[in-house]
Amino acid sequence: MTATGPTTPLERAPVAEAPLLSVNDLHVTFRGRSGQDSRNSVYAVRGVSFGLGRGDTVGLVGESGSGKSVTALSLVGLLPDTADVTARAITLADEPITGLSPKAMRALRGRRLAMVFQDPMTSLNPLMPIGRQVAEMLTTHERGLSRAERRQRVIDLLADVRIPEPDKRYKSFPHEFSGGMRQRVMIAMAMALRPEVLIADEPTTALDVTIQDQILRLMRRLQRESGTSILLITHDLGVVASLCSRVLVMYAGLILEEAPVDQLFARPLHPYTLGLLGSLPSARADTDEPLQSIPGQPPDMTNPPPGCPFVDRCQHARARCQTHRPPYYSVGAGHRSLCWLLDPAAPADGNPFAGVTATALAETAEKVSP
Amino acid sequence: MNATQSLPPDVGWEPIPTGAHAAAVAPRPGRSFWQDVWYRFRQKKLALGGGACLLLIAVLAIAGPSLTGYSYSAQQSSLANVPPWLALAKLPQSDDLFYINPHLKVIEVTPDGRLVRQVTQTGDDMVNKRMSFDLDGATLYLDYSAQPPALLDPDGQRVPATSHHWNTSYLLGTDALGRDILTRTLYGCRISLAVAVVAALVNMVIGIVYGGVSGYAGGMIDVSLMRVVDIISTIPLTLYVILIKVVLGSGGFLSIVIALSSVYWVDMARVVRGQALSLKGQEFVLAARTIGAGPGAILKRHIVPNAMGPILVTATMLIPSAIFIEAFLSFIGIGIAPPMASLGTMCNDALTTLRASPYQLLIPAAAICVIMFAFNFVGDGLRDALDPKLRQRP
Amino acid sequence: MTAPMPLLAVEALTKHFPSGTRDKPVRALDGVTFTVRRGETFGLVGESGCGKSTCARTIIRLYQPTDGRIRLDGTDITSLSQRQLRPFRRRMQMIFQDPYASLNARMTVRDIVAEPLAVHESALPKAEVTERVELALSQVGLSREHLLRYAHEFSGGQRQRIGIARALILHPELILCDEPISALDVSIQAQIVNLLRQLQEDLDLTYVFIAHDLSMVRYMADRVGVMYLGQLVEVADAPALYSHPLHPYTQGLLASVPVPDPAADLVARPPAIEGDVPSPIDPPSGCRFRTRCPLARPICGEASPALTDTGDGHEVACHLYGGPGQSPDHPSTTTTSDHQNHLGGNPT
Repeated sequence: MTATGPTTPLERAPVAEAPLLSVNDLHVTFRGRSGQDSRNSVYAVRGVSFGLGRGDTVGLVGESGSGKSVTALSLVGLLPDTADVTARAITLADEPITGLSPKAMRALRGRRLAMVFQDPMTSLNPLMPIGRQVAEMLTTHERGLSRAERRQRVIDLLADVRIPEPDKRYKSFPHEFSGGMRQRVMIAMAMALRPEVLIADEPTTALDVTIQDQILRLMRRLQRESGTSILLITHDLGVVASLCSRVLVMYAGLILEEAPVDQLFARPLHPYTLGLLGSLPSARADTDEPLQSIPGQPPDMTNPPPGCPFVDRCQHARARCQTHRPPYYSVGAGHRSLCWLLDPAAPADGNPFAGVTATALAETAEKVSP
Repeated sequence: MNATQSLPPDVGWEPIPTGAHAAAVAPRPGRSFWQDVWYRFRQKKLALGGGACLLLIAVLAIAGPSLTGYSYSAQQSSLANVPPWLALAKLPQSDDLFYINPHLKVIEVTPDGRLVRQVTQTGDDMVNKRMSFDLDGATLYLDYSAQPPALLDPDGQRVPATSHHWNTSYLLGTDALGRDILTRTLYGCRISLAVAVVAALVNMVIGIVYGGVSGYAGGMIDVSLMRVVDIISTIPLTLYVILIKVVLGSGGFLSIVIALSSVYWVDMARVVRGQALSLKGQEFVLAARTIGAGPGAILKRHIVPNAMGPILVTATMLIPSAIFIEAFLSFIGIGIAPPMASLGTMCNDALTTLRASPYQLLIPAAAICVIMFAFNFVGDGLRDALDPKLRQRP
Repeated sequence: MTAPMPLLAVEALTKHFPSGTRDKPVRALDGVTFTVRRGETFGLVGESGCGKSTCARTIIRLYQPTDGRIRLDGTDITSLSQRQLRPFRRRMQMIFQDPYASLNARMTVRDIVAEPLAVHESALPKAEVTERVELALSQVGLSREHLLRYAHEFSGGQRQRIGIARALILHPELILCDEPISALDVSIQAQIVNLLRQLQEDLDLTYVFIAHDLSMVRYMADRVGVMYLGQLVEVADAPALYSHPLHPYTQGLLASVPVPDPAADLVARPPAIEGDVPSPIDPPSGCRFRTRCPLARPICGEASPALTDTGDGHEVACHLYGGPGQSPDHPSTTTTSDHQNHLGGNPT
C-alpha cells in the first residue's frame, strides 16, 4: 500500500497483522491445600505471553510440570476451581476471552476454540456410539439440522479423518476402536465446527510411532484444508519439527525461548534448548560419547527460584542468574530468549552465545512472580 | 518491583557451578504415608471428636463398673424404677423428701438426692383412691384420685411434687428390677466394645489372610475360596447364632463371639482379595517376584501394607455394624443372656415400662447411638485421610 | 572354532495367554529366537502389544512359557521350579518401565534397595546391608541422605535410579530393561541412558534393552531385534539395521519416527505404514505383517517366513529375501536411503 496512511478499514486491516489468538502475561496458580496457605500453592504458569497467527502452527514444548498443559487448559477455561488464572489480556480475534461467563465459554469452546487431549479413551464416553458423540458436537452448536443431514455430516467428518467404512463405524463404540482410530474420532469432533483455533495437548503421545505418523499427517492435511490455527503441546521435538512453524520452549512456568522452527534447531539461543537438543540421541547415533544430559531436576514449583528457573541445571550459569530473572532478548524476527548471556554486557568468556546481537525487550518479564 | 532494572549491567557475571543450589533440588523432607494420613486425619474435627469419644467410653467401660459401687446384677427391688431426675414432695412432718414412682411406691429421699428407703405401705383405700404408708410410726397418705398422684399433708391437702433433684444414689436411675442403670450401661458399652474388638480382630486376621491368599494365588484356589465366602455370606447371621446357641447349650457373649468370628470376615476377605488382585499386577510386586521373593513375603511386605487403606476403612465401617448386630440379637433375646447387661437387652427390658419410665430405654439407646456415631465419624475421617482424591471430588 | 557361549539364548519362545472371551489364546509371543552375547546390549523394539514386554517377563520367568527354551549361560531354566530358579535370579535382574508403580510406596529407599538381599542373603548383618545399599545407591548417583526417604518423595528420574540400584545390589550379569526411560522426560532420559551405559562399562553388564523409542535403541544397543505381533521380523547389528533395514515393517517403522529436523518435510517423506496392528488373538495367516505391507505377495498369505541370515548376522523373516524359488531382489532402495537421511543425519 502507499504511505498515505490508512484511509478505509479494509485497507488498514492487513498492515500490522494482529495474531488470531493472543496471550499476554498469563499467570496460573493452584491454591494450596488449605485455602490461604500459600506455602502449598503451585505457581504453574508465571507470566506467559505469545501469539498464534491465522493458519499458523505453533508448538509448545516442555517437560512434564513445565506448565504447558496448564497454559492450554486455561485458554479453554477447563482448569479446576483451585486454579487462579490472571492475565493482562487473552484475545481471540481481538475479542477478550478472559472473564467470560461459563455459558459464553462453552459457546466458544468447540465453535471457535477446540481441544484434542492426549488420551482418546478417557475423552470419549464409553457407553455412547461414536457417531452419536460426533453428532452431539453438531447439535450443541448447530441447531436446525435434520436427523439425516446430521448423520450425513458425521459420516463425512469420519471419512475426512480417514476412518474406514464410516457409515458402518457410525454405530461402533469407543472400545471397538484402536487408539489411533479413537484419536481420529477426537480430531473429527474437534474439527466438526471448523474452529479457528485447535489446541492439541500431546495428541500423539499415547500412540505408536506408525500411528503417530498417520495422525500427524492427518492434522497437517486438515490444517491445510481448513486454515485452522493449531497450538500443539508436546514434549517431542521430533513432532514439533514435523508439524510446526514456530516453537515456544517452556520450562518451570515460563517461556524460555521462542523461535521459528528452523532457527530453533539450527541456532538455539537458550542453554535449556541446547540441552534438550543435546539429549536426543538420533543426531549422534554412531558416536560412543555419552549424551549431553541436563543434570538435576526441574525446580519445585511451590517455591520457584527468583531468578532464571534453569539456573541450577545450567552449565553457563552466572551469579546474577540466581537472583534476577532476565528480560527477553530479541534476536531477529520472532526469535526471543530469556537468558542473561544474550545481554550486550555479558562477558564473551565462556559464553556460548558470544557474538549474537540481541536487544532486550522491555515489555516482558516486568512482573516478578512470587 | 522491576528486578531487571535494579541490577547494574556489569555486576553478577561471575560463573557459578552447575547445581550450586543442589540442596534445593533434593526432595523436600517429606512424610511417610502414615504420617501423611495422620496429618490429614487431624484436620477432621468430627473424626477427632469421635476418636476422643470412643477413648472416653472405653476408659469408662473398663474402669467404670467398679467405681459406681453397684454390680450389674444386684437387684434392689424396693428402689425399682427410680429415674435419674426426681420430682420430690416436701412434707412438713419430715426433713426428707418423698418420690412417688410410677407404681405408686413412695421412696424417701434425703435433701441431697440420696435414696433412703421405700416407705412401707400399710393399706389401700380403693374407694377413696388413697393409700396409707407407715413413716416411722406416723401414717402418710397418698392420693391417687387425681393425676398426678400426690401425698397429703397432715391437713389432708395434696402436696405437689415441686422440688426437683438429681438422683445421687443411682445417677442414671434404676430399672424395673432396681438395678443401677449406669453400671449396666457401662457394662453394656464394655460388651459392645468387646464385640468391636473381636470383629476387628477377626476381620484383620482371618479376612486379610484369607482374602490375600485367595487374591494373590488366583486361579482355582481363588475360585474355590471365594465360593466358600459366597456360601457363608448367603446364610443369615441370626440363623448362625441360634444354631451356635443350640450347639453350645447356652447363650451369652461366647455364642455372639463365635457367630461373629465365623462369618464376619467375609466382607474383609472380599476387599482384600480385590486389592491383592489389582496389586499383584503392579510392577513393584513383579519386581519382588523377579528377585525371587516367596508368596508369603510378597503378601506381608508388599500387598498388605499397600492395601491397608481400604482394609482400615472396611474395618471401621464393619465395626459399627457388628455392634449393632450384637445389640439387635440381644434385643430380640438370642444374644447376651440375663442377668448380663448388654445395651440390647437393656432396651428390651425397658420396653415393659416404656410409658412410665422412658429413660430406661433412652439411656442405652443413646449409648448405642453415641458409639456407632463415633465409629462412623472415625471411619469417615480415616477414609478421607487415606484417600485424599476421594475427598476432592465435588 | 566355536563362538563363545551366549549369556542368554532364547529358542522358539512362545507365550499364549487365555483370551477370556474366545477359545483362541492371545498369541503374545510366538516362536521368538535370539541370543545375547556377554557384555553386549540387545535392543528389542516394536509397537505396543508386539510382545516385547511379554518376552522380557517370560525370560525372567514371571510368566511360564507356553513353549520354547530359555538358556542362561548354557543352563536351561525354562522349567525350573521357583526354588531351583533362585540362584539364577541373582544373575538376572529387571528394570521396569513405570518409576512410580515399580517402587513400593510404603517402603523406604533403604528397604526397597535391600529387598533382594533380604531374599538371597538373609543372614547378612544389618550394618553390612546398609553398606551394600549405600554402595548401590552411590553407583546410581544417589547419596546416603536418601536412605530413609520414601519413594514418593522422589522425581521420576530419581525413582528410576532407585530401581536400578535395586537391580544392581546382587551383582547380576544380565539386566532386562523393560522400557526404562519411556516414562521420563527427555532431559532425564539422557541421564538414565548415560547411567546405564556407564554401569555397563564399570560392572561388565549385559543388557536386553526394550524400548519403543527407536533412536534411543540405536544409541544404546549393539544388536537390535524388531518385533511385530509376537514375532521377531528382523535381527541385525544396530548400524546395519538402521542404515539398511530389510524388512518392510522395519523400513516403515523407521520412516514413521518424527525427526527433530524441520528440513525433513513430513509430506515429502515416503508414506508411513497404513492401518492398525491386527489382533494377536487372530493374527493374519502366513506373514503377520502382510495386511499392512506395501510389498505383500500371494506367498505371504500362505507361508510364514522364517528368520534367515542374509549375511553378516543380519537376519530377516520376509519372503522377499531368499525365499524358496524367489530371487533375492532388493525392494524400495529409495526408501532405505531415505531412512538414512532421517535417522542418521545430523539435524544441527
